[in-house]
Amino acid sequence: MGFDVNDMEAYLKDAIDKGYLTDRIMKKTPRIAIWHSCNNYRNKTGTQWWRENYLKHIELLICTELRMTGSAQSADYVLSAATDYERWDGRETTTNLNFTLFGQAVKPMFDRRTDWQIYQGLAKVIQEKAKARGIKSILYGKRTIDLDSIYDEYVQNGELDTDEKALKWHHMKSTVLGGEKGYEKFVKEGYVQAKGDGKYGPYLDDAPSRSLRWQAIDKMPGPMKKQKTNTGRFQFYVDHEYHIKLDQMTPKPQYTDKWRGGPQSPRRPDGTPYQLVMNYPHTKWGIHSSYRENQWLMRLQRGDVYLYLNPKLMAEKGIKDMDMVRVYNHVGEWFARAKEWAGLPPYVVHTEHGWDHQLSKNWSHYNNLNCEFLNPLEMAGGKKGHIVYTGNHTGNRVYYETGVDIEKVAG
Amino acid sequence: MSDFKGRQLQIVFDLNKCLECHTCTMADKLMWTNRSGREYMYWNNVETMPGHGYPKGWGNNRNQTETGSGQILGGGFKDVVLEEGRTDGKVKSRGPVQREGKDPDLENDYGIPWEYNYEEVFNPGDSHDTPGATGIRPHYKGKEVVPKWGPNWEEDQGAGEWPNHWAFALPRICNHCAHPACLAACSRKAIYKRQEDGIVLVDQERCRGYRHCVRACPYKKVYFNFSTGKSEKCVLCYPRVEKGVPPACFAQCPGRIRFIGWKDDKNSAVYKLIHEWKVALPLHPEFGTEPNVFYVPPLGNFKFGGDGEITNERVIPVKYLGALFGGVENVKRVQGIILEEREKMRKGIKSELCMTLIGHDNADRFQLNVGGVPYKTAEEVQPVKTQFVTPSEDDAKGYKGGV
Repeated sequence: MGFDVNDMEAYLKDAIDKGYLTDRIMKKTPRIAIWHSCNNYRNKTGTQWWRENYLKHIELLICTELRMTGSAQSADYVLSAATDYERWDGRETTTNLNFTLFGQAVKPMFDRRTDWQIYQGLAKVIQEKAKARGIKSILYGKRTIDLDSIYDEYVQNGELDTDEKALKWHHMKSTVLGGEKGYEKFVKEGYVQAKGDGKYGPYLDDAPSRSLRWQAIDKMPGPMKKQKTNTGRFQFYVDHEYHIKLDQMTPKPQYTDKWRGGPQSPRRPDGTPYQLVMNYPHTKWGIHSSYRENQWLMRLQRGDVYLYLNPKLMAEKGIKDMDMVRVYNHVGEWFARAKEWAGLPPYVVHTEHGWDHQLSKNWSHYNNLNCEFLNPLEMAGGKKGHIVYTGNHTGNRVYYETGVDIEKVAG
Repeated sequence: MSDFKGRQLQIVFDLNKCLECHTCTMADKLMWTNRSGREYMYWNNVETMPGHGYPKGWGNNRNQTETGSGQILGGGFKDVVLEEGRTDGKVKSRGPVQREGKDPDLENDYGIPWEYNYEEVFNPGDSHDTPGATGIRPHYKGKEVVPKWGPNWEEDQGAGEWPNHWAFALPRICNHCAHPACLAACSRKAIYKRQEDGIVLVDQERCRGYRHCVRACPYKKVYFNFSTGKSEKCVLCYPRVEKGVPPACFAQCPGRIRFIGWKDDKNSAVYKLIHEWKVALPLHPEFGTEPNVFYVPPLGNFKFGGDGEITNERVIPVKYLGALFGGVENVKRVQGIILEEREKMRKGIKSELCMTLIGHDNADRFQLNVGGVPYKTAEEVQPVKTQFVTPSEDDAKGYKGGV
């Protein structure tokens, strides 16, 4: 997009000055962190720098995880969580009309607990300690948290002290899941269909449900406040000042080679352009990093982390299929095996995302290569409908900002 | 060997619908081949075409790459004569079976069933740079390995050049041929074709592990079990099929590309697609085995021109499809029919062919007709006593709270 570190600082200052972002993110550094089902090392852009600086401040790192991810490996405590097969819980996705039961096919193995049990347990201990020390409440931002009754509040004085009670409570609160009758069906058959107004469209008995129906087909604003845009419709043209300034009002085609050598080419610190731009979209082989190192699925791939390369580029660099390749720039390095793919433009290197550090040589990662720690477009805010970011999230990378070089290495 | 006179199940895979998601592969893998010397086998696999496929270089005279050159594993019958325009796989005449094909190599042609040293993630690494724990690597028989081949090794690779690169998915199971080369090659008469459904099986009592069948099958869908010393192959989930339940790889297919039914059932979807509309073609009828799995050939998308504009030319060369599916003319005719029928649907005229290919419901795609219904679910024939039990009703569910 044509910005550098200084521009980024300027955007950040401007965004805080204008109230687009909260100033809390600048004022107070975290001391204790609980990562819940979040492989932060895997998904943070500029991982190694983020990690180094983050860990300087963190005295206690707790990780709730299903498995030992790269992130969980550096935690002080790993709270071992029950998997979907081991818990009595439900799942909805915004685009599907069914609320689906995880029927607890097996009881949790080892000492695993469901996430509901884990946080109940934490809340209980915190309440006990607070009472013992005579601490009543603390101020967190504008909120008051009553530590001496946090557990009672969490389980609503025992009303929600089991997964089963919590799930039923959630079900009964919903206006679209059919109350007691719906719950009966849900437990018996494993799912219940939502009826009535959902987030993006109505769920009807006699018509297929279409995601984004209200916005895209009926040209109506969504019924929920947070879906409202300036026009009340699905918004393709974004007229926020940052988007205008960076010429990003509409989604742009990213595959054209016209940009190559032009002003948008990622550059080295000395101003010369990188030969290659790096791309790493969603994988078909897992949900982000989940299942990414599953043996059965890995056998259907190359068994190792791989990088798609155009055959012409491979010939130019003397790289053969399955050779170990070092991908590097002035920010960091990453290792992967070459896989030939003529479907790729010769100036792009491509991998499917979700690889965990554990799988790469030297514990390296493709996120070590990101030049953009924050995305200036995600500092946008104000009275622009749905374009609101909190600052407390993982920045989305900008496709054509990660310039790299590659070379063949041993391994 | 005389012509097969029994009843025959036939199968259609619609390649225009295949997502290449490998759910079929996993359904098969977890049901049949994840144990007891079968770990390396994929009775069902999906491979990207053009390519060397799985195992590497299957085929006769040519392999499945764009040029057809490189390693060729061989098999099939000699001197096969096809009847022009015929698309049901039946051949005019054939010579003797070819048993002198190559035994595919475990490491280089199939790919070893590597494993991972997952437990390493609990160990600290050499350095305590954050976080310093050890990673996991592919291992085989206790040693770290760099895999050399696998069932989906060439995923998405295809041929051509950006932006006109082309590739398509080819799901493959045993073809349960009417004239199986594996059966013809077996000197032990251990391979038999069932009269009641045409499923081809290897008698594990009679097999002596000579592997003539492995060499003779031109599709390379017979595998040698190194643990038992006998050959094994796709059984078309016959214990399910006998009870009217479609094979696991059919039942699990999210793309709903798979059809199964009887050759003599004129109301079945497979009969309509293979024998009436003739839009489903046998894979390599020139092998002479008269396969019973038929494919609706892919149309592919359109080529880009020099300025990025979309042209009228299809990106998958029809010549290549012709080499796979019994000749260019047959493929062209099928593509023509499908495009014509699609056009009808666009104009609001209902097309029987398109509706059949869409196959909205399982009953539209599976017509095994056991017990007076088109198909049954696995749960119907092997009922599960209780589907879900709430934790409060079941003491075995372990931890219930009370922290």
